[in-house]
Amino acid sequence: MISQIQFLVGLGIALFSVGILGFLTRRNGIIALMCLELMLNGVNLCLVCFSSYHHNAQGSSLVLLIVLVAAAEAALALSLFVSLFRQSGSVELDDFRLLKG
Amino acid sequence: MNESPTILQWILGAITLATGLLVVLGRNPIVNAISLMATLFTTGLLYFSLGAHFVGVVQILIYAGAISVLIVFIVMLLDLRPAHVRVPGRSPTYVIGTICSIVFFVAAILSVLPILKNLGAIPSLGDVGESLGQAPEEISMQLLSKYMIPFQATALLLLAAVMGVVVLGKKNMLSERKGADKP
Amino acid sequence: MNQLIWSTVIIAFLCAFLLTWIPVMLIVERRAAAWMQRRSGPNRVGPFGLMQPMSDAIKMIFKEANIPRKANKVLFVMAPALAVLPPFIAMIVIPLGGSVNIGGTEYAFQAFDVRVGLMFFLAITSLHVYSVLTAGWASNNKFSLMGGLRAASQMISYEIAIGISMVSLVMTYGTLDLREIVKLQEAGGGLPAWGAALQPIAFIVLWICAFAETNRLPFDLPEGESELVAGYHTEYSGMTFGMFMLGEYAAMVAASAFLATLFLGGYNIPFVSEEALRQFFLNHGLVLTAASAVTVLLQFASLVAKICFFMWIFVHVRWTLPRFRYDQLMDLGWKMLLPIGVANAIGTMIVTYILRRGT
Repeated sequence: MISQIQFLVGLGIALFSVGILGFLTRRNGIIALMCLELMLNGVNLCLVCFSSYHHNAQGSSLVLLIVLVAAAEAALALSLFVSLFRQSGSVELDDFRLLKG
Repeated sequence: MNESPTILQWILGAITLATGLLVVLGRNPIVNAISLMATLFTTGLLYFSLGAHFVGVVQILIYAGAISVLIVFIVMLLDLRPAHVRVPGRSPTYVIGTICSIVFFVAAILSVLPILKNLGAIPSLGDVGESLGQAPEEISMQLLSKYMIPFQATALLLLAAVMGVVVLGKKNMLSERKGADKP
Repeated sequence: MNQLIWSTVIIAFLCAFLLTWIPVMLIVERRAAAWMQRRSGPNRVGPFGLMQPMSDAIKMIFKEANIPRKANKVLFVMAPALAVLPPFIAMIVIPLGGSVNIGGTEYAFQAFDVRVGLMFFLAITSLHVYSVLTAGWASNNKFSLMGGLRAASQMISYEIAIGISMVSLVMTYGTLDLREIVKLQEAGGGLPAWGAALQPIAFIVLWICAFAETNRLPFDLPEGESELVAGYHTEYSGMTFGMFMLGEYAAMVAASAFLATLFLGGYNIPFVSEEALRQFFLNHGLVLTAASAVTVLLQFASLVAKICFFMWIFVHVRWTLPRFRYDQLMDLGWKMLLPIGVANAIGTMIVTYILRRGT
């Protein structure tokens, strides 16, 4: 039988790998962003788990900082995608190869 | 001694993983976005089961209540239908990505879990108790003393993000085409 | 384990309590509208039309719940359920009364006594927007989609004002625990220590935002009849539509209970403390359990009276004020309420610093 901490950290790792899978395979910008959130979420789960194991607030404060950064990142990325969509009518990442020549 | 996960945690973990997979494998962007919200929400509930009430509430309030609403909103605004989203097919990135994630998963599980086995159990909680060191007061003490510089840097980052969004959202600043209104 | 049983009992009680409000509000709203517009209103079913909600409910249940052919079926059915759940979940952190003494142990009359109750309530009610969004999108109808998009931007905008006005309140009381906040208002000796007296600006800002968050007039743009047919629930019929009604009234009750808890002293009866009341009943020959139970019931009645007050204002405003235009709504949220909230928070910060330094 696995212990609680193993279960939760394993779940965090699984979420992170699912995020990697999506980030590398899906080529839609917004879905890539969602996968990024998924990866951050896996890390957060591990941090909260360790924080409550060690009975101190350090992991939890890091989680708060990560959540704030994720909020900023999501707002910026989404507004970028909206203006990209306005310019070219697509948010597929493969369509933006203008520098490739 | 190892305390095994409770039934509630098994259920929540299963939902989290299933909806997480749906985010990646779903063909319909709106389903992806809503299952992302479900993943974030159940993760928040998992924090509650660990006694980290404040972080769980922040997770639900900011992640599930704001960020993924924004994502759902943008998906609806751009009207991304399943037909508009390309299916990965059997391109090299698809194969490499799948292999990479599986290798990472197996390697991380094999290297981390045996070490964790030697740790003790997470100290148990009362009936509706809060874990020690997870109170809002203690987290704010940490944020305002030890993590002061990262905290202030995050504030600056948020300010920069706000300015960036305003610049991007202004009409006719980037493109001359008459687009939809600012969201 | 006993705490678990007690919490289950209170959650069952809360469900019954919230569901009782729905028929009451249905008849009150229709009769009040008629009274304000000098009509008679529904007065045929039962004495004074009091059985009208019953006939409405029977009609809704037996009507066909139509699902449009091109709708996304899973999301279409999920949306009404998402509308009902958040208010019911959010209510569990509201303290409904003092504590009952059973067998020497004090049980708080609250389903989930969490130390971050205030933020828990905000977090759960912020999930309400998903029902509107998914309903609007899944209907596959442009009016519904417009309603959903309007609802999303409206609710997110007003949530920011709510958060900012909460900051000043939390600074005043120094805690996020709703029970603690009620106790502090009680300890201050009734009316002068109520949140409405200490933080009048935050009270008004939050009250306005409560209208916006529950999508009631004058903020009911997501379902504005004259522009969007019926907004996000255009395609809903029968009981699926009934669930949206139920969710709206439950959200109103939850918002009223929250406002009452934060600003009108919650369950406490003005100028009468819990100990005094319990002592009064003990002196009149009741045993401790009965005395505490009667005290809690009286306090609960006080909370219900405060909820009634807010609900009446909800109804009254609906039939008095016209609907906002969309840009006026956004201007009110971003250019009025948010700056006022920020100014209030900064002012509270300065005052709190000066007061704390003095001691």
